[in-house]
Amino acid sequence: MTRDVPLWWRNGARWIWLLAAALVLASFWMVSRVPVERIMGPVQKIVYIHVPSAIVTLLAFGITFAAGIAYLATKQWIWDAIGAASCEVGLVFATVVMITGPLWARSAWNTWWTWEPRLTTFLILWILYAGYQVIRSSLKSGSKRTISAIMGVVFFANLPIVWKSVEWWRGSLHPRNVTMAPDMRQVLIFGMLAWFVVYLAAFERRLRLEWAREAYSREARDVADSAPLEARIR
Amino acid sequence: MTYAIIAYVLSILLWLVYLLALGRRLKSALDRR
Repeated sequence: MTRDVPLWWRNGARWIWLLAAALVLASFWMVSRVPVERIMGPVQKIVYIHVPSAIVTLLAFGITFAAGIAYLATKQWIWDAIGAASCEVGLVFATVVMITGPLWARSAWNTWWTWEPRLTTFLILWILYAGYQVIRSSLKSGSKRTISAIMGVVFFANLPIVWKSVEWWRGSLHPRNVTMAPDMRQVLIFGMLAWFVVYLAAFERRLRLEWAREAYSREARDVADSAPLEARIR
Repeated sequence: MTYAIIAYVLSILLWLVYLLALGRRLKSALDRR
């Protein structure tokens, strides 16, 4: 196993990064051109980064969940690497949601924060997956992968609650259904595509880090295994 | 308008900081002896 990923991977990654940068720039351009919403005004444009980031967050943690199950079933290191990489990138998206949300709320609801169902459940989600990072980084290699996989599976239980919170509890300020003008919807869907490609690009880079760490630990193991033999030859 | 600009600027900054840090972590993992 080499320290860096194969050449075809590195070449492919370059194209994903280029595509991600182009799509995000195009998305920002579309956001600047889309008509201003009549009641809320320009602040409504936060929705074009807030909603795509929230959707990609759920997707990223969903992949961590699936990778966790795959790791527990197969015990192959790559599933642990995929789960950890997706979780970390997902947490960045969740943080974008947590930054843009209050800025929206201040204008729309006249408060930075309120304990309404979607906000509360999403905050719990953020804390859980931030906890995943802290716990994973504090574990030794022996139990690290199994415990990370278990966290990825167990924490996923909160995702359907976040999704359904607007229906399950009263007092939600988030709408159940949103009707948008076709040109606005187009910009929103394009934003989802752009940020999904950003997820892919960041995920690739983070997975490469796990690959390099795995290669290093194998090298270290090989050196440790071969040391007594060398000593005997001398 | 100000809140929208702040939201976008903060999001872009967060991404830049994360990606730069990730690049440095990757480089140090590749060069580790």
